[in-house]
Amino acid sequence: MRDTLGLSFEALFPLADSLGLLPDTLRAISIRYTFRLERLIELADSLGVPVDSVGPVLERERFNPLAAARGQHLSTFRYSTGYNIGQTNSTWSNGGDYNLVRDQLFLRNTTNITMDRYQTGGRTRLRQTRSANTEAGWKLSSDFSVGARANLDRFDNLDPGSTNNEKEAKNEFQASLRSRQQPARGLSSELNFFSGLLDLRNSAQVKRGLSGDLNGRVRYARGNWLTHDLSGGLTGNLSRTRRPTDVTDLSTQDLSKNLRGTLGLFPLSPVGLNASYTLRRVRVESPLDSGRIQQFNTNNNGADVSMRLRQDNDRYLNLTQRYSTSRQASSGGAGSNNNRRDIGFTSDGRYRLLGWNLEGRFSSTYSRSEFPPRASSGGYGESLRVRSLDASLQRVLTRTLTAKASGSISLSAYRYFTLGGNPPVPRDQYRQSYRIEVGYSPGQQLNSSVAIDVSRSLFINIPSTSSASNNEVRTYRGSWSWTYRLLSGLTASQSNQVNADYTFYTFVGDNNRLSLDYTTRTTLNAVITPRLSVDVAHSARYQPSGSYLVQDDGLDAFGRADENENFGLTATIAYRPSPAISFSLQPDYQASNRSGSVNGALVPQRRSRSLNMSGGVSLNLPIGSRARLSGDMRRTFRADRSTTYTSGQPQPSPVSQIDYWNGSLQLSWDL
Amino acid sequence: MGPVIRRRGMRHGPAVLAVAALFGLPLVGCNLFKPTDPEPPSSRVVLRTDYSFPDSTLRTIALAIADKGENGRLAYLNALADTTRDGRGFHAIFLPEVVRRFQAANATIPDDWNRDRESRFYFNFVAKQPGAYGMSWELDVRDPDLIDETAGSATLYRRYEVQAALVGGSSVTLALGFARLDFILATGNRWVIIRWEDRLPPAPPGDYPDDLTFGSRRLELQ
Repeated sequence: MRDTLGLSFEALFPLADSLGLLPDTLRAISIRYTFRLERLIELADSLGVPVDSVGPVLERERFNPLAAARGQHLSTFRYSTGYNIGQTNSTWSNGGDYNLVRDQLFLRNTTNITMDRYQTGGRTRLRQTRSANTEAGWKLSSDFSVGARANLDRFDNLDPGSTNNEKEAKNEFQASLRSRQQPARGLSSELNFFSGLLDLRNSAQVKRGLSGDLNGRVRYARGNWLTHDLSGGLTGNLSRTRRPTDVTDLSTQDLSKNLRGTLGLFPLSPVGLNASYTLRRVRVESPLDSGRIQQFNTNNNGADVSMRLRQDNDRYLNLTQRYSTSRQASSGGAGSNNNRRDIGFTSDGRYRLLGWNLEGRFSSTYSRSEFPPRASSGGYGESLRVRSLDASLQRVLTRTLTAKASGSISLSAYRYFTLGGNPPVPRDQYRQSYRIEVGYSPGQQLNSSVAIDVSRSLFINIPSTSSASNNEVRTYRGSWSWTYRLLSGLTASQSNQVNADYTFYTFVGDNNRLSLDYTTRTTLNAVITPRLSVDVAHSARYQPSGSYLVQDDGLDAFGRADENENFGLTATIAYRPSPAISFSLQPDYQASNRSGSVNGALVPQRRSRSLNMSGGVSLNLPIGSRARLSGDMRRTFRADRSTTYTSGQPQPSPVSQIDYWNGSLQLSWDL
Repeated sequence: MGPVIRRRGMRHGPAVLAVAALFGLPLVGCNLFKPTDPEPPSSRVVLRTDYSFPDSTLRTIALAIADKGENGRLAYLNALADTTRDGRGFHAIFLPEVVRRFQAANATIPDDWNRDRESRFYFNFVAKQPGAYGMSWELDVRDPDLIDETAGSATLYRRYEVQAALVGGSSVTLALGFARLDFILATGNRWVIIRWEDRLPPAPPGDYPDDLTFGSRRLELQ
């Protein structure tokens, strides 16, 4: 990312921690909008939105006619095209954004076209998605505009010779009113209204009528101690609707209501409160045969309340309570009805004291779902209670030695009740684990770590009709890894792992099993020149498994039933002559042998060998001052051959060879 | 030095006690994590499962579908990756044509089809017909299998079919389609499915209507 996109992620983890986001999420947002992390934080603060909303808000405001200054002259055009290619499919996408402002007049258009091609059995299937949204209007003042907009959407799926091709065409022509208000200090609002004509055709219905959309946002901020954001909308239509094969229109009404809000109290203080809530009601009517109308209702509600106690990044405690309900109902019968209710409590915290770092997380959730009849046997309801507790303790013992111990425990309890049918079997799932890890790092040249993991999982069916399947899995894992810098620019590393998984059947001990896994992977990383790097890795894996039964002497013994041996040799050669372009080559060879037990002796079952070669180029190339070409394109070659053994006799398969292009390229151009 | 140390410890004391109580109380008393004691089994028959190889896992899924009972459901679910046990979860991907058809009928399309949903789907699917079920898997010759046993990952391309017996000796096809199946080698040397993606069929599509795919059945019976 640093080399081709100009992005780096120093301080990613502490930033993500302080924002309450996963590091992966923060990194993905930075890459998606090509913003540095610091720039993302600055924008989030100035816009007064969460970090993960910065991108969508900027996209929305870019084409908001009220965002442009009065008397401004503006002409912008952005075109982007992308091409993705895979082994049997390709996608070509095109998008254009046009924005024109002349004093009070504005015109904007956003058009997207995506074409997918699939090659199967010598035939080509084509799938197209097209949309064009155009709005023109007049700004009567800096806070009020009127206009008209047209939203056109098309979808086509064409398969030659098929009778199930899908098509959809949707046209909306509406008048628009946009307004902004600032009724008081710290209070700002926005209200928009759109209304007009709707024309929708697809395989299920033809719908024509009047549509309306009323939406708005309110934001209130008071000093540093209070912020409240509220957004909502009403969308609906009054239509005449029919099935494509019918001639008689039916009167239908659709209505969607939603409300979302976030309240923050004392966000910068040691004790803060944050609450969010959502309300959503949707009613959709569709025509059935014989002149009937089917009504679908969806209700979703939810609320989260979090209390945050924070001294610094190393000392904090968060307490969160969640509540949500979801309900779907259809007038067509109970078969498509669902109800669900969730209640949950979560606490997580960290505390650093006298060199010890303590982290923990506790969660307890209760869910209740009802599934009315889906089949002739009837329906059922499910209640699920999940509790989990995770904790870790870490300390730097000496200048070169660190130690960490962590543990976790969880219990999931599934219970069922009948709704006129036979429900599934009630069951519990339990898991506990702990891990101890010691790291040794005497200097920059060498670091090494040793760890041991132990876990126990229980799968418990409660009634006697199914408790025979109850089992317990105990896993023991030891690992040792090290990294050593042999020379400046040459680093060796190795990871070794030993696993043992014991599966015990509580009531049917004859089925007990043991699986072992020994893995080692050695890597050499060489930076030959600042532009050329080579990585080579070798891996080996040995996996015997079989029964683990009590013998006549009362001791458990391992009876080997099968074993796998896997070996791999991989290299990556990367050459970057400039920040705009890099080349890579990746050869990879894999060998695996599988043996099984016959009359107590191991005999070969399968051998396979494969060679992969992949080479390509990555681009982030500016073209002139207004365009950029980015992406990567690769050519992949693969050859493999396997031999299976039947009654000890080898049955080789023909060598399989494939090669194909794969990758994606994007071109964007701003005028 | 002594009094200084005592004052520093006293300053942190209440916070440490609060944190320790918040995370320690769930462990002591309360039985928050104690599983229920099961009833002794009325039958000692256990479905023979084998997840030692991706094709073995698919054969076990076929046996599980044929079982139609609780043993079958457990065997079926154990063929799917479990986040808490295997570190990865199971997800099913639908054909866009199927999603469009259900959206046009105003059905709900879940954002993520996971293992919990698949558990309920198994129960509803095997209850759809009262007769015996049979499931078969065949190679999809359009694409070769990719099995990397060293890395513990595999991709298989298969045609699947589920038939249900009817009264009178005939049968009805309950599911028919093609899928790309991504596996990982999980705890206990089990090859489990992390991704089931329905694929377009190769033959004239009239032979493979998309309302018989597993994806279509999942959305129909959710």
